[in-house]
Amino acid sequence: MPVELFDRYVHQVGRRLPRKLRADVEAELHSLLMDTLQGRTVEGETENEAAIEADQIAILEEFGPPAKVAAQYQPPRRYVIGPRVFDIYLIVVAAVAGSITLVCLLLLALTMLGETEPLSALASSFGDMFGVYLGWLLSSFGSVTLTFAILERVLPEATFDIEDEEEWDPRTLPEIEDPTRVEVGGCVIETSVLVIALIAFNFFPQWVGIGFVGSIDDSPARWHLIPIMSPTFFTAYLPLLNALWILSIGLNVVLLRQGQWQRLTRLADCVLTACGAFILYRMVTGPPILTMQAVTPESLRQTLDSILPTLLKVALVIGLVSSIGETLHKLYLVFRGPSRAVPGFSNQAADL
Amino acid sequence: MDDSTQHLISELWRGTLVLAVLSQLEEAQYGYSLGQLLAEQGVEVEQSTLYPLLRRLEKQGLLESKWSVKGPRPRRYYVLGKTGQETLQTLKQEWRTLSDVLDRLLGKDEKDASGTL
Repeated sequence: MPVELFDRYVHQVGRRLPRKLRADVEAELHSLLMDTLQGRTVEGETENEAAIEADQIAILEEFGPPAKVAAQYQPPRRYVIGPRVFDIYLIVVAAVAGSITLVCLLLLALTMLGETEPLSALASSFGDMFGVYLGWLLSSFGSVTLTFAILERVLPEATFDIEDEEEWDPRTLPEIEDPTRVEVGGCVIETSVLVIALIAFNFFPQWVGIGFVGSIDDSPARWHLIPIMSPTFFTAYLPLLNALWILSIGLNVVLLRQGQWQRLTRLADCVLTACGAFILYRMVTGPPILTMQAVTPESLRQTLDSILPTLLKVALVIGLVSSIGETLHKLYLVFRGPSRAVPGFSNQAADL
Repeated sequence: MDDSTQHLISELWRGTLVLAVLSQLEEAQYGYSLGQLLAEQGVEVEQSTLYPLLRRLEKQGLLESKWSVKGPRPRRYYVLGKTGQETLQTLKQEWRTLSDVLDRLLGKDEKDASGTL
């Protein structure tokens, strides 16, 4: 019997509850919805999916919008942002963060426009702008949170009412995103990129460089490929990268076979991301990974020498910071554990 | 009936809800069966009100609960705990006192209205 609508409803209630309550309330609510449905279903109607769906919709309309039910389960005023304003709060936070990102990108673009060497200007102003961006993000996040926390406490109950019950339609409940599901497309693309990188860097290192169509030293215009990776890169970093890439490919194969994230695969992913961060750190602080010796003419070499290492360093630092953040997030996912804690409960409820 | 009167009636019923619920939990019930039991006896409670109320009463130490996996699906059963039984007795006495007082008050009003005094 299809009970997917109930699953979606229970999920929407659960996501508004504190984590320690969530699994238990979700299990009980699901059980109650199934009991109510069973109490309503006429003998012989269990095969009629349209009739059952109509019963489910009627039951959910009686229970009320998920935010309202979640609010009933909440202890009074033990939260900073309560369920009645939480959805609006998320929209405002996303809108403010988006606006700040847009403004910073525009400012960065304007900085480049006013310079004769835009790439150098970008490299030198990126760090400053990133600091400003983070500062703005944090302060606006704090201001929005504080504003909503005050609104939560000073506005009368009727203001910001959760959702008009008459307008609420259970059929509009969003689909459940399974956090343990492996994104097959992402895994396949990542594996393909890693295989290409392995082959290119190990068997065709001469292909790794800057490619362009043009003329050098008055010769006719043609395709040029100038290798720029330094010998140090191949001796000091490539063995580490090879090991990381091979292990990552192995992990992706396991994930594709299993179809779901498990604690062990999450841990392996976390360790590999941490190793990636370590290699990036070595690249940032260690010997240079680029060399412009093969670049001709001299003027082009000097130009590239003044831009590329700086740009690469900025990119490596950004990669390092995001890798550290990613490692911490993955570590959280490892120890967060399963959310269901009720014996015999599964989201797919038993048949009537 | 206008909205404010309806609101007052809801408030009146709401005040008796805890007593009604406790009175039916001397034997263990799960949420849906309790709702049915109350409805059969004329107490209609919104489901979104009843189920969270059971949890609050459990948190206050009046009810005990446990999951049972017998039957078609896991169900959480609630029953009065020791404190709950004592509280139920106290509330029953209070209710009888309140009921007597109100009966007297309302009876006096009715007599006033009929001009017998």
